[in-house]
Amino acid sequence: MADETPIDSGTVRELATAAQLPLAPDRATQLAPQLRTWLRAANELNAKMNDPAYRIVAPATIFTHATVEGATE
Amino acid sequence: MTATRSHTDVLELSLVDAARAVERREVSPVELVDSCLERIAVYNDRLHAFISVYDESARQVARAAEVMVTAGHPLGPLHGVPIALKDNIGLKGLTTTAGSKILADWVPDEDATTAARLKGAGAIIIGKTNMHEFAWGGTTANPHYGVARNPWNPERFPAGSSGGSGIAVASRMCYGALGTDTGGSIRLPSAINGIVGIRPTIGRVSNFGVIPLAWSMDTVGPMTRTVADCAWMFNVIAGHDPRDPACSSTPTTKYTADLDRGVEGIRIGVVPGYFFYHLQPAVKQAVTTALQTFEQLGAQVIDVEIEHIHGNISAQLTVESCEPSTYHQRWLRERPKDYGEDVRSLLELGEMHLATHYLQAQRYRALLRDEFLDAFKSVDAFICPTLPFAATPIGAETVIIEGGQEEDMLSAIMQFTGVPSLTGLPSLAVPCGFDADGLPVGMQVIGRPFDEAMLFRIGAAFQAATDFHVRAPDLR
Repeated sequence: MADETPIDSGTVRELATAAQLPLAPDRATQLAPQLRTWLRAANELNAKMNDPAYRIVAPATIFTHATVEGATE
Repeated sequence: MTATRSHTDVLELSLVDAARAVERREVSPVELVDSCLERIAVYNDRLHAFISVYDESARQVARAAEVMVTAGHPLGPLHGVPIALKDNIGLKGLTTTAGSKILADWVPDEDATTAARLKGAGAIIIGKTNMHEFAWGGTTANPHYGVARNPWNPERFPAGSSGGSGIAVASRMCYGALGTDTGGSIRLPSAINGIVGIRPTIGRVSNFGVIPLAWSMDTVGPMTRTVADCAWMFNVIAGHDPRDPACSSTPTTKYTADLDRGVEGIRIGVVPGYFFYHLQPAVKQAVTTALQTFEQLGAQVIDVEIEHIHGNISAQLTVESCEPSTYHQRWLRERPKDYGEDVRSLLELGEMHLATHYLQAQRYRALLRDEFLDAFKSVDAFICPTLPFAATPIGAETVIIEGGQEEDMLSAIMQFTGVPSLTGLPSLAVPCGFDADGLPVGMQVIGRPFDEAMLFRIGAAFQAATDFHVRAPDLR
């Protein structure tokens, strides 16, 4: 995936707005470098996991029920 | 009971020896508790290991424990032994802060399962230890309860997030402690303070009553001076708990049973392209020498390729940022200024990953787990450094790894601990050397799911052949 749009304080503000997270302007500037690093790495992992070889891999968070007493087997 | 022994002598007993000495009535629980409390009184102001110290109640319980043992009624394998708990582990009727201002006055109405099991085995809880705020960080530079300091050099950090537990055990303020480990929070302070600690298989030890950091990776485990002590405590806390829906019903075993079996014929895996890359030279040397020791003891060291190991730090950061930010969502909006600056930033950042990032990280976890499970067909355990460096100066935000290369502390500190955290595999941190400044270096032994007994066996064999675990920091 191309990393064409830089992650800057404006991106941070937009993401905070989407999450309804109040954020002072100085905090957006402060958070931007770390977010840039994290999202670049997360997008690299996205690219890896989008390899067709891993299409059948399910996330490690599958919702299950424990055995319920009285349920028909 | 002898009257000629000093408190210092008593404090040098291992947890197992202290428990046995109580059972044989060679030492009294009152003597053990008094010795620990005296030690805490002298050094806690400097090291900030404890948030709460239960002087009065610990002495009361110790007197009762002495009566019980004198009357021939031992309560269990930890009868009369002083133990500390990380302050995110709930104790009924006592403040449990999680190292935060937000929970400064929170008092649980029941014990965490692990705390209840320790008490049921006769342990005396002497206090709650300092930690990185809400366990979200690896330095224990706590803005609310004091910056914790390394007993080997108070100008260096003790790591975290269970930094207080690491300090307390290393500096002989207690015989054992509980920590919690999400991304490395037991293993990191164990390595940096020169002690032993285990992150159990996910589901082996109950998380009930523990303030969460990241639900899908959180674990509770003991931190002690020796592997035998760690296995002894693990016998007490491991096992199914119906109050924790993620806790496994897989049967436990006696974790102390194989401590003397040695490692003859044991196959130890290393991932050469990853485990020995990006290290401070002293760490590389110590772990390399440890592997040679294992070979001399009859183990076989085998190179193993783990194709998917690269990417684990990103996956860990994604999971470990999204889940805490979910738990803290309301407080972050209502009380943002009550967080320390670093934790506030991490929680804000955790709201800015996309759901697809989180789920791809969870898919990656499944991929990495399956690759390790496959690798365990040819090895019995993996060994690698616990972290790539020895204790850094307090306040450092970066660390020099190899060749003078400067790295971000958070990413560097997770380099090796992330693999067990993501895969859910158990991992035992064991001291394996010292750097040129006299700071401890640690390795971790990673095992099959629910095979903590193998880790204790390997760790005990190493400690039988070396003396790193018996050295103590000079606090004077």
